[in-house]
Amino acid sequence: MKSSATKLTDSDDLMTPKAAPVRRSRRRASDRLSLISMVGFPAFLHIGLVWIPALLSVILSFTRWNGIGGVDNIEFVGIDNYKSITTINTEFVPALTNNVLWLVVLMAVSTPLGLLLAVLLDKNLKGGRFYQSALYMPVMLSLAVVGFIWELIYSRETGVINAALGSDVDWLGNQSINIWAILVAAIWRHTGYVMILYLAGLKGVDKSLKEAAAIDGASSWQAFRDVVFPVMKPVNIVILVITTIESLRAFDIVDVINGGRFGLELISVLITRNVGGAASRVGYGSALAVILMVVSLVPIISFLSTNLRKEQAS
Amino acid sequence: MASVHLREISKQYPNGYRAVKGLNLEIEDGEFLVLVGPSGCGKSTALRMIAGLEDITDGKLVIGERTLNDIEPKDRDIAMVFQNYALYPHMSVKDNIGFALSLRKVPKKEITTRVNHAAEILELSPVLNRKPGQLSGGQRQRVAMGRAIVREPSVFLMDEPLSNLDAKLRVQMRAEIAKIQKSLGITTIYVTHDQVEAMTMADRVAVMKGGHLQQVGSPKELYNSPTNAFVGAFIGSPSMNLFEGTVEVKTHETVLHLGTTELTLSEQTRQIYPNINTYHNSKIVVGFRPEDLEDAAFVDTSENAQGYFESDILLAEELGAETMIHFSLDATPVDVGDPDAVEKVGANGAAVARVDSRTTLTAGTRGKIFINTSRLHLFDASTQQAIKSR
Repeated sequence: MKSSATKLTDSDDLMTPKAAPVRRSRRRASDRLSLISMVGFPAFLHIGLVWIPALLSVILSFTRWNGIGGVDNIEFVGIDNYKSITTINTEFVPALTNNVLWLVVLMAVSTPLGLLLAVLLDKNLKGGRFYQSALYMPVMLSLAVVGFIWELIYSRETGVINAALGSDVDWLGNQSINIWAILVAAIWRHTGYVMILYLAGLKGVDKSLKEAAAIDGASSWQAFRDVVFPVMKPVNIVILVITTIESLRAFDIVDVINGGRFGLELISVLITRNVGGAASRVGYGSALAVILMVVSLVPIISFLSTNLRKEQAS
Repeated sequence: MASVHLREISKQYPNGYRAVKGLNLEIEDGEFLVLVGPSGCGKSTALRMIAGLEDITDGKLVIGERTLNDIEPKDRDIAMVFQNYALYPHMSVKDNIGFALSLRKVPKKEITTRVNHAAEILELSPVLNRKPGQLSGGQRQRVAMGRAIVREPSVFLMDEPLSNLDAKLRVQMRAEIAKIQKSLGITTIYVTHDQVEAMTMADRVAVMKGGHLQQVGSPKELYNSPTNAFVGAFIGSPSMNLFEGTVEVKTHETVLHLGTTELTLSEQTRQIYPNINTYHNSKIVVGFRPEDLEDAAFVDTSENAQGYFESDILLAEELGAETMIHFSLDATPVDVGDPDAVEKVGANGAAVARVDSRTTLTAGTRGKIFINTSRLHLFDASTQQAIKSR
């Protein structure tokens, strides 16, 4: 018996409803493969390498464990680690203060400075490419290298600053000023990052919006304030998130300078010191990591949720 | 409201490219002038120079009594509607329309009154609190118009404001813009590459090509008396058929040879082109519009004994009210240098006729197409300029 399908030409086959289910199921199979390779695999890695360790850190933060031996050696201690961190550990408060200071300073200085540089570079100045590369170069250096470079600048005996000023200031040793000296280095590096993000944002702003504002009667400043900057809202969110993360995971630069002691304490340094090395206080280090995670997430989540709520309302 | 005067305006970019070359235009107070031409003809550059968004390399721009060459856009008292509307995406419709007024420190109460008035005219009142992203294409276009009219400027500048709309909405908005312009009486310069828009909206049309002004005049003038073959081909849809022909002056008549077809010029045409006899045995460019051709079956040949083509019919496009017949012609087609012409009329020796929809001519048959030789357009072959008429 001849089936109706055998009577069809190739072109008919594409048009008939009978042929459609075959094509759909093929598409579904290829879609499944795409989904697995492009979504499933990265999601698996993300869960395995980020979420599970984060969750385990939270669990471990309520335990005492030296990281040696099996899980039988893990002892549940409730919130003792947190109590100990906040009451006994004399480095915790300075470390938390320094982290918050780091965040505030990068937000208050690097962000507007990066924006200013981006706006200037967006004006297609002569030699703009050179300035762009020069200002972005510190971003390509690791914080450890940045620390080393600034050590040469701040060195009490051979540093550039003391040589230039003819002074004898211990920029990195004096506990009342060394965090500010390090923050200058961090600003130097982070400003280039912010600048490149804003520059990309500015290039993405529709040129006709600026022209429309100019014709509407806006000065350059009014056009920037009322039109260009608000249009770059997605870039602002990215910069906020990146700056928060950068501030709270800062480690290398202080580690290179003096191992994160004597005024340069950071939570990341405390974690490393407790989890690794001779101390091997995995539970205690995990509690510090959880505190850092919470501190990181609070500003990001509150900012994003406020913005999303505003967008939904509008 | 003000008149606009462009005197020998030129634009040269740093790389040496000259986009506009010595443009002279006098636009009367309250006039609706359409600048039309193919891509790269300099029409948008000319408009942007009037707006102050491009520097003027040479020449003088005067609006009203003021020379504006070096005046900032914000101080020119002009409003502009952009091709992509350029609405501020983070502002509501109300704020978009009122932005220019708030920059000018107009009292809030007056801003509200003027924005509401503009919104009423443009039927935007229900969407005043929405953001541009929540509007349809037509509504966005209206907001852009609202932003322009609320200012009550001396001059409106519009840069292809309808090109992002679908065909149906474009026709509707075309009429609305023309109506608003007439009611406000504000001098308007409108740029488009669509000659239909130009013909239907303009008081006068200025046709540009390669940075040069080709002709300026009323839509009828441009249609009936194109100054050169380019204007002839650009104005009108479908385009004018343009072929090379040879003039032969006989004792009692003048004959045009278009390939193997001979057309005897009517007395009327000879009167229109009194110099035609000086082209004896010379090549000229012959233009005839599709609407001046007809299926022979619908023409009384005794009364219209003017000329006809007997040709192979290549294609018949039925449009309902009329039919477009593409037929072969063994004369050499003429290229007028329109970069936008995707399918050049006359390409491969094909001409187009707009004929009665009752025609029985179909592709693959041979047919007889009549031509009204009183409506011929004759151009010099070397310059493509119209042969001097009366």
